[in-house]
Amino acid sequence: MMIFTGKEILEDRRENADVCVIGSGAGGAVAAAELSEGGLDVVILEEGGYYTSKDFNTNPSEMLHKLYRDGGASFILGTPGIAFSEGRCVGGSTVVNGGLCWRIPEKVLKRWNWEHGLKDITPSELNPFFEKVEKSINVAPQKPESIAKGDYMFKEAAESLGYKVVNQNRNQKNCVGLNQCILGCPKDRKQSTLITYIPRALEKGAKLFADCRAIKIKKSNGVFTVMAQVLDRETGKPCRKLTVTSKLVVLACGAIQTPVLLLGSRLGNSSGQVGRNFYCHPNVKAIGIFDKDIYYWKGAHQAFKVTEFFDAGLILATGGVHPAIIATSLPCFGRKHLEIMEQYNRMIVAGALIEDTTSGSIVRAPGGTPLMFYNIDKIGFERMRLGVALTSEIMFAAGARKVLLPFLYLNEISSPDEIKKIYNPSIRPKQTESLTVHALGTCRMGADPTLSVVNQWGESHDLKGLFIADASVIPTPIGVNPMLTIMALASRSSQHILDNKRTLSLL
Amino acid sequence: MCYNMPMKLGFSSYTHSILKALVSTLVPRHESFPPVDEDATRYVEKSMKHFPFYLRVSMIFGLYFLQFSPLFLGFYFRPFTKMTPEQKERYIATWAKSRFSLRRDMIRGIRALCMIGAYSNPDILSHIGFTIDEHIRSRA
Repeated sequence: MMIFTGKEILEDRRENADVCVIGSGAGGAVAAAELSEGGLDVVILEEGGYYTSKDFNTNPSEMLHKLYRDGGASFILGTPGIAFSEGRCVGGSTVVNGGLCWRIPEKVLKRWNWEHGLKDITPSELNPFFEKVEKSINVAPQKPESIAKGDYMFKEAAESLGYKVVNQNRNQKNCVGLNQCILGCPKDRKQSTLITYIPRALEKGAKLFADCRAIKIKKSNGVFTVMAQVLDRETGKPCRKLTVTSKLVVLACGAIQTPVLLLGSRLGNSSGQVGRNFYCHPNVKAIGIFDKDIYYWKGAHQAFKVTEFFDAGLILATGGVHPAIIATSLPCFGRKHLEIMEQYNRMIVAGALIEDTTSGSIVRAPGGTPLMFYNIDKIGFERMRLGVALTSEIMFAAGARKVLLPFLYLNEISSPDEIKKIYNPSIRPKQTESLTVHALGTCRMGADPTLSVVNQWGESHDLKGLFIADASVIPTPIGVNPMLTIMALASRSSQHILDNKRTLSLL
Repeated sequence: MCYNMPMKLGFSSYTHSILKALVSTLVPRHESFPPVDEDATRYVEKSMKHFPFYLRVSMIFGLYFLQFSPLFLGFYFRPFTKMTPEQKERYIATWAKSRFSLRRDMIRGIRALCMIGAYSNPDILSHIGFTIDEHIRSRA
């Protein structure tokens, strides 16, 4: 298998291929595998390192730096400031996400049709691609014995309040609930692209270059040239050059990096929409503290979701992650912090995913660094309040003694009667702690070239042969985890490329 | 040979001493586990190497502001590193709850990094009862 890491590239290098795929996450890996299997010569560039389950361990201080961009500590500027994490390794965020698989809701596809003229992207059009992807990554319900006790408590409490709860499907095979999803599954039970699509692409002859950061794309005489820096894994410094010439480029760097690469290359932005329409599904969390040990981290989390409020733009679920991650979000320090963390085994952490009602933007700062801006609007903030209030209500119904809240001046409440305090007008967006792992929409799809960056197949309106196959093409917030949608759209774009080899000069 | 190297910007020994004083105030302590200050400081410094330039500049600027602001904001009449542990704790608490989001966000950011470093330490994890390796062995 042809995997080249930074330390194996000893001199400046040139490659030639039919297709250069930039990024190896949910979109890039699918495109690379399907295009390779369709007989095309593919080169994959990945900025992050190549790690396998043998390299994964339970130490967050090591894994966050290996697998995440900025060590997992990226930040969206605005009100409120939002902590943001995304993967940066071969397999991208699919290596470090929770593996939650949702098809895009029909109401969202209607919106795509009405607002963006995407009339051909219907449920019946997308279903075969969803089925294909789901089979490839083994999307399946969680085995009951693998699910954490805290999840069952949360589910039963939500149902006792009359709320609709659904089982979540995951891309997993025989998951036993090690609960290490976000640090890389040490037993390869999560079917990330690292162990599904990437090996398929390599088997068909694709070449994968890890530690290689694409910095510029040019097109002349019908040929694309992608210039990349080979990074030293230890220092992160660029040490050599890799130049790839290809007939087609598939950009799949994610909704933050893709617009930055396009802006830096001065390509594809005649609409002025590159970097705009940034959606991020802000999350707010609440922590229930109980009188007895729950060990909610012993087992898979997010096995269920409360979908009762989906039409109000909210999904609620638990999130049992490593104490180091929970510790980052507590509003105190020193001894008080430890006193809360000493109750870690008695906690259930849950949160609400908010469907955006506004959008932000990505700006390319000098040096090519992306700056992310997002200010929540009034409706979005009311959704945040409602999400915290409902999560707290469920926690108390499950028997919580108190609930820790994400508001600066309202840190905890001790009974359901105090939930109304969340609606105190003195609580403002800037005093709210929020986080997210979703980024969408910065190179949106649409029928109108003056309002969108790519067409319904992900191909640039401006530049024939430049495709985008990541979350940046998603034109609106979707209100659910986007991995499966990204993969299905990438598969659809790949099929389009294979069906049009002649017109795309690939024959 | 490396080319096109990003601008170097790291901690001087002076900024390191401010960071160390801040980390010592933020990290949890208990007699049942050895101090985790070193783990936390190392993690903050390691993270900084991965940060984009603007974040590194902001962090260094923020540390200097923290160091000297007690002279004109806190009526302590001494820089942060010269304060007693109790004074440091009180002063950091005012930053953590400040109405100015920049002060709050700086403490929030460094606190988050500190806590990742601290709660990666096996002694503190064992203190709070997080026995993940045992859990993995029992299920795998």
